[in-house]
Amino acid sequence: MWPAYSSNWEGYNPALGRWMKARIQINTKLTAESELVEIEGEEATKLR
Amino acid sequence: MYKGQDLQLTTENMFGAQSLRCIVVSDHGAGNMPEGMLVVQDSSRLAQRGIAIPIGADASKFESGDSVIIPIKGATLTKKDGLFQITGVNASGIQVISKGNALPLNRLTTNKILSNPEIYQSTLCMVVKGGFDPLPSPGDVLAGNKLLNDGFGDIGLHTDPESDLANTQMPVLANFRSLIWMKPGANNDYVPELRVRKADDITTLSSTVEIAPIVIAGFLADPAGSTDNNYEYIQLMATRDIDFAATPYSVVTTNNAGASTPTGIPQNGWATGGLRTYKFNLTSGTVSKGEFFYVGGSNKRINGSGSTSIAGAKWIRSFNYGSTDGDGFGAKTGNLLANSGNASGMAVFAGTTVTKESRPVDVIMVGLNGLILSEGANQIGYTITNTDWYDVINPISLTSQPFFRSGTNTLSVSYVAGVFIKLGGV
Repeated sequence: MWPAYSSNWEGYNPALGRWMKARIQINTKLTAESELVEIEGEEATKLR
Repeated sequence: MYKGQDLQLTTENMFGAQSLRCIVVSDHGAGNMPEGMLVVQDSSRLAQRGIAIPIGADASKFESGDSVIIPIKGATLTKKDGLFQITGVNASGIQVISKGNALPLNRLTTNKILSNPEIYQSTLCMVVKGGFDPLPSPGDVLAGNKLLNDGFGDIGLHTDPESDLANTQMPVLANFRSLIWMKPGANNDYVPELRVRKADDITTLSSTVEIAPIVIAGFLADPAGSTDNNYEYIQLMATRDIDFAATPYSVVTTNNAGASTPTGIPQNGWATGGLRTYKFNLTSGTVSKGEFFYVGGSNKRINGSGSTSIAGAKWIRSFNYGSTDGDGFGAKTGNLLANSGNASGMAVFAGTTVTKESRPVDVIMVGLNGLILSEGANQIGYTITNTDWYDVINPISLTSQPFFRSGTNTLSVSYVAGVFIKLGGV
């Protein structure tokens, strides 16, 4: 059997010691009222 | 030419041609090629294209690098099993013009192969920095179907259990020069897979696993407002539980703006000090695996003066860098990270002693310009490590490239004013 494709996996895999997809630059415009979730939530670095 | 229906090839529909001149890319010597298939590649154009020609056992008579002329007038262009093929070719009519012709490296990333299999099928490619998931254990061999990841996606690597390659040890990290083939997918379609032709198609880059305990996740180099002073910060993520009192680390920033002294090539790399590099020691506090934490100015605001306080986030080291020198080196400064086209950056080191030879556990650079690298006999620069962006050894030439901007280590964040830079994914 073939292993399942996992092209949607992303982030750093500490078991393999490698990035499953290379980091990309995401420019995030912040305001004075921005909250922490804006830099830790969606599109932030992930650990697999 | 192929429009979804088999097409008999004629002089008319081939614009006067009667034969195909191309280079053989298949090599049946090790027994890992699709049986009976002669696979050829057109090297006369800038873009490489390949096609499979089923000729039975005679396919093994041809070697990779053979320049051949294949009579195809009267043959049929078809698509079978997801592959473009020319059927009805008489092997005895194939003429070898020369042997040992060089084939282009044709470096490809797996995401390109997966998204455009019709373009890349039946060509020879080089997938660089491939590793397996799960990680191979000692004694694991290539035989069977393995999942290969190159940092851009996952693709199958097929090795015939009866081939000479079957008992080859699975490398931790390697380059794979492979034929792109097609295999049945999950939804009655066909998806690409790689097939290595012979043992020296695999170039092992590393036999050990390097795991970064901390990765750089983002940073704010240009907070809103009239000053950056004491508002810049770096977002990091732990990839394991860390007690910094027991296992200290350090974060070093570099600013190579024209006014940053000492000017010229940074003689001690990340340890140059002055206004070029600045160190934060991480010697207390704990973080959990997968947790974000922060290092930077003691104001702890999300976007400069008057913005939301993020003092409640996990801060491991912060102080007023505008009025305080760095831990060990670095002069107090109003700008840790440059707001210009000249290179700046940040690196994480194991321990708190950083020298010009120290190799970071992660590093991200911003911009490319400035006097930051000397590649003469006395090599000086900002050391990098093996990451998704940088390689200590050039993966193609296999030469040493220990610094940012040497060899292929030219990837950097583009400076954009007034934004938080996330280093994530979508």
